[in-house]
Amino acid sequence: MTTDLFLTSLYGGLGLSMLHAPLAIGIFLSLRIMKKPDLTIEGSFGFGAVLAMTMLHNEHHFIIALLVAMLGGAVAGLATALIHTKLKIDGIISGLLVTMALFSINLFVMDSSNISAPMDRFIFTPVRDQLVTWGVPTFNAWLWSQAIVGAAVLAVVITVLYLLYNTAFGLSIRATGDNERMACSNGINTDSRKLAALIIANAISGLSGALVAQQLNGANVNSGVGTLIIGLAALVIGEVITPKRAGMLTRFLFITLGSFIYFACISLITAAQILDTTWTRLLTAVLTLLALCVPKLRQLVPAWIAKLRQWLRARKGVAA
Amino acid sequence: MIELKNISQVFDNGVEKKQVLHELNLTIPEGQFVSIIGGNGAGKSTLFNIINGNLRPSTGSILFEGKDIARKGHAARAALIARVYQDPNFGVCPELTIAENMALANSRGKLRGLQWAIRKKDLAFFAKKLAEFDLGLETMLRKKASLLSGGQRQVVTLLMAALQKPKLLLLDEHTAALDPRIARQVMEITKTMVEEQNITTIMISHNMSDAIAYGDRLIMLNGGKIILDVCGEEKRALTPAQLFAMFES
Repeated sequence: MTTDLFLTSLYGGLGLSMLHAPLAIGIFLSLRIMKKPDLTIEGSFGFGAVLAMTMLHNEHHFIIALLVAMLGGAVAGLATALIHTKLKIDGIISGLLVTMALFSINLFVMDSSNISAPMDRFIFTPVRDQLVTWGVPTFNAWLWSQAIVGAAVLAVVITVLYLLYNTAFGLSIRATGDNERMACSNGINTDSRKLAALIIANAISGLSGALVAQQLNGANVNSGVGTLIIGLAALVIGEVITPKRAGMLTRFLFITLGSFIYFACISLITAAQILDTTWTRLLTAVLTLLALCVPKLRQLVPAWIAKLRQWLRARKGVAA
Repeated sequence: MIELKNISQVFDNGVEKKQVLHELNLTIPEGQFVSIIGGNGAGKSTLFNIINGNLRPSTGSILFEGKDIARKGHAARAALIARVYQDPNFGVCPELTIAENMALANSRGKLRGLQWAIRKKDLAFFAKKLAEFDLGLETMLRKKASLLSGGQRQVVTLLMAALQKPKLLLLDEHTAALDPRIARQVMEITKTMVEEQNITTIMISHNMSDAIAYGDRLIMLNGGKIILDVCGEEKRALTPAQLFAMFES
């Protein structure tokens, strides 16, 4: 692999990681903070992609497109939360039902099975054009614009979430996820906090979908399929490298780093033609599994080493 | 003052019905510390669940300072009533720091809006409160509650329950999961706190000696009915053996 190809793959990975990091943070908010796996995340990612691309197709400004995508994700999260809290349906089933319903809604919104929009309406375009005027080659400018816009959006998302989760309201959401009985005993309306948490997580997922749709230059009924495992991979890798006593801000930053490591690995492996794109999902599963095994390995490896040393010492003793 | 009037609780699982409380009447004046004892299935925990809103009684009303609170939900009642559970893990959020746990308790009954959850003055207040127990907990404010021992957790939970002085404190066998030494320490802390703040308290205990030694009044429940209700000299004159005999009869 040439240095140019290596760097281009890395830039591409950087951009993709920034665009997918909000998705991983959305999964973190539902899975780790609320301790509830929310399958709606995948549906709201696709819904966000479809809504944003439809808005851009209809000549709306990209800011409006992003806001509508977030709103769409929020509504999907609200629907799941209402089914879960008011009808007392299991959280996973609630998420599945909403994700299934969104498939039809996506078809209705697009009025076809896929949709695209002219690239000059995308959020990346002004940044790319600016980079081109500064002499950056067009293709690299396109990759860099994704990374820059992704980083800027991510910075806003992380700042807002960090501030929100340090307010009295945010703390009550965290308490609800951590110990619902205790939260209730302290006067917290836990149902309303579950609603808020799922709305926030899915709004962010919708935003991520809107950004990725622009990176892919289109959306279709299958947008979002498999994104849950991508977000989960980024989250798990990020958690493996997160310091033990990290606060919320550090955790958000390490999830972003996890997203970068994941996409850098995928980009480099496919660019080096070690594996073609057919194997991307398998690679994702293996990377996630490896990351999930790390905490266990951290416990086991020192024990194995100690046993090996003991065995070697015993052998030395016998030889002497 | 809290008044329970004709409280009955029937559990119906669709196959059979089981009456746990039978038209129970109980009046507790403000500031009184009541110990409740009784065997398994006597209705003690059901009574607590009804008082703090986890359960709606089948019949009867709960008057709190003259107002019926039976229609108020669990969360709404939390402004009036604090409960400490037997399991130390129920009382705190393990992933949150001690300061964050205390901040949650400190805003009980208040609107939880977009103001900062913890301000500098709150930290100083929490440290001062924890320092009163002389367990060194004030130096651990920034540590996660999961790092606390069972006894430390129960002390923090107790402090959290009394942080915004509740109108009623429910202690649900709160020392049962602790070793005897720590249990004694927690009971002493409970006594001091309740007396100093004059908190109306109901404590469920399986420890006969504690039930006699602590509190102003002792109630024994059996089969969902009050079979003993004593206070003052009469209570102090009781022995664990006598109570045990009543248990057996």
